[in-house]
Amino acid sequence: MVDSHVQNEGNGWAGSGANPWHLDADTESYAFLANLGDKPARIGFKVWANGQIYYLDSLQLVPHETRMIDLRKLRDAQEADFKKDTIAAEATDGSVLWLGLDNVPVMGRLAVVTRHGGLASSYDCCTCQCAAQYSGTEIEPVTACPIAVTNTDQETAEMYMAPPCGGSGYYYDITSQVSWGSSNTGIFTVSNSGLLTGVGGGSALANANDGPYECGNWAGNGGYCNCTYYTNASGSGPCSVQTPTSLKVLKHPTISMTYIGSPCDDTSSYYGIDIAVLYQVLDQNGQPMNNSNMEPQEEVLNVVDNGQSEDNTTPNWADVGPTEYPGTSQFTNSSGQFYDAPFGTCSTAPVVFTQTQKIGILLSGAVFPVRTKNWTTSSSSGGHGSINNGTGGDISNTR
Amino acid sequence: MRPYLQMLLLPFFAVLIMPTAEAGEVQDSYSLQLVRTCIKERSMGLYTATAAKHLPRLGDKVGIAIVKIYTSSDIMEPKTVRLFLPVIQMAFQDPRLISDEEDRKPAVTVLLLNYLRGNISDGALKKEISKVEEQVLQMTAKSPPS
Repeated sequence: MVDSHVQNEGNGWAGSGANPWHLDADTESYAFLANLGDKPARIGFKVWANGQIYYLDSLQLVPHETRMIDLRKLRDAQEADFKKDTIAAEATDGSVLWLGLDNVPVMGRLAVVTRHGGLASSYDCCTCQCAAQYSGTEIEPVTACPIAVTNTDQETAEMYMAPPCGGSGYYYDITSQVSWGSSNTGIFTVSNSGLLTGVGGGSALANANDGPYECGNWAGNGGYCNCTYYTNASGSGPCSVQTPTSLKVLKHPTISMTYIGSPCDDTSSYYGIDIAVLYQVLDQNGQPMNNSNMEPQEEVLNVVDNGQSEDNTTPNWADVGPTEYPGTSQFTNSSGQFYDAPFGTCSTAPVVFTQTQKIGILLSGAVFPVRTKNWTTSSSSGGHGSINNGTGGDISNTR
Repeated sequence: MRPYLQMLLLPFFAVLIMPTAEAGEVQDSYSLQLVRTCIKERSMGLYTATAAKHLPRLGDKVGIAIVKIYTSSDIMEPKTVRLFLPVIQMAFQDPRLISDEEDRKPAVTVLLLNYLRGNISDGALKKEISKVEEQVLQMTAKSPPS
């Protein structure tokens, strides 16, 4: 094993590092970081590989702690960082970059070790004398933004720390160190821990204020670093809340009612027609909602068969799926789409059948009505008929 | 006869889900409207997609609904029985679709069918009842866990 110089504060090299790493069947790579001070040392740390950056955003060493980071384990864990990125599983080469975020002496090195006594190497190349300086705070959703009304998403606050000597910076997680708030609680609220909850449709800002007191500018002076001003880390990030508001018809094939275990698909002796409709749930702006946790519901009212009124079949909201028709489900798919299957009739005599169908979307116990349509089927000859959803309707079919 | 039937079925009502309707909303816990409508449609030779969609969710609730819909004398009428037997079949046609797991066991419905078979004199109808009972038991026996 061969490794490079051990660097230290004040020599023009210490407090940061940029080191190549390599992994193969005979080679391992380990990064060593040591806090030489008497105060905790936060460290910005990132790994470059295959054109992708992977951040460790909560690395902190207690006084006089040395931490070893096994690059193979870090790569193979495939645990996403706050930007949802990982180190490419197939990556065999890359760079490790690190930078002290506090005015605490930190040293580090990266050792590349070959099992059979081959060459190993490590080097430092940077000349940052001082610790990183605060350059802003980013607010990031853990899973997704926009979110559906009544749904939640955890926000993270990431402080961006830049090297005083230039170059790209590092992120450090301060989610638990800030005061959270919302610019419009009618759109979403944000809890003390950064949990965002959708209240109504629209866009607002998640605010993270009063974070850690950070140096905004370091000035080096003969091996010493002086901070010219300090500031509290604070930031804002937008998020939108989507409310289910309407449905778009994507397709509507006619189907046969064989699923009810009757001869309704025998078009020679039965009258009637039926249909399945693939819907897309849209928000208040007519944009698709890509949520898989929405439960389509329906109410069926004003049922009239050949002029004779029937009891309302489902006067309270009831699940539209699953049914035996392929594709139907209790929930929307990941694109916010669902099948409602079917509407129709199957009769031993000619029939004109009408009903009013209301469709709603159930989210966390609340139903949001999205569609009210009057449906009509009319069959005057065996096995045939037409189906539509009233004047100006977006569905019509005949067979 | 009806008090006897209700007494027989009483223990099974205990497992029903409690109503969750909000104030002012009519809660049809036993799906009486749905079953009533389906039976009426059957009497007119009509199948509707709505019935086909919602009946298979009921499972054993269909037996309770039928007991509640009919009087003790009506429920024994052969014409009436022939109308609701297909509705019972549809309620159990695919046990995976039954909303409440407890309703995948046809306890109340089988009790009802047994009761009808034992108290109806029409031989042909007895066979029809036995056939439906057998189908219900077969369907629920082979139902995979959800």
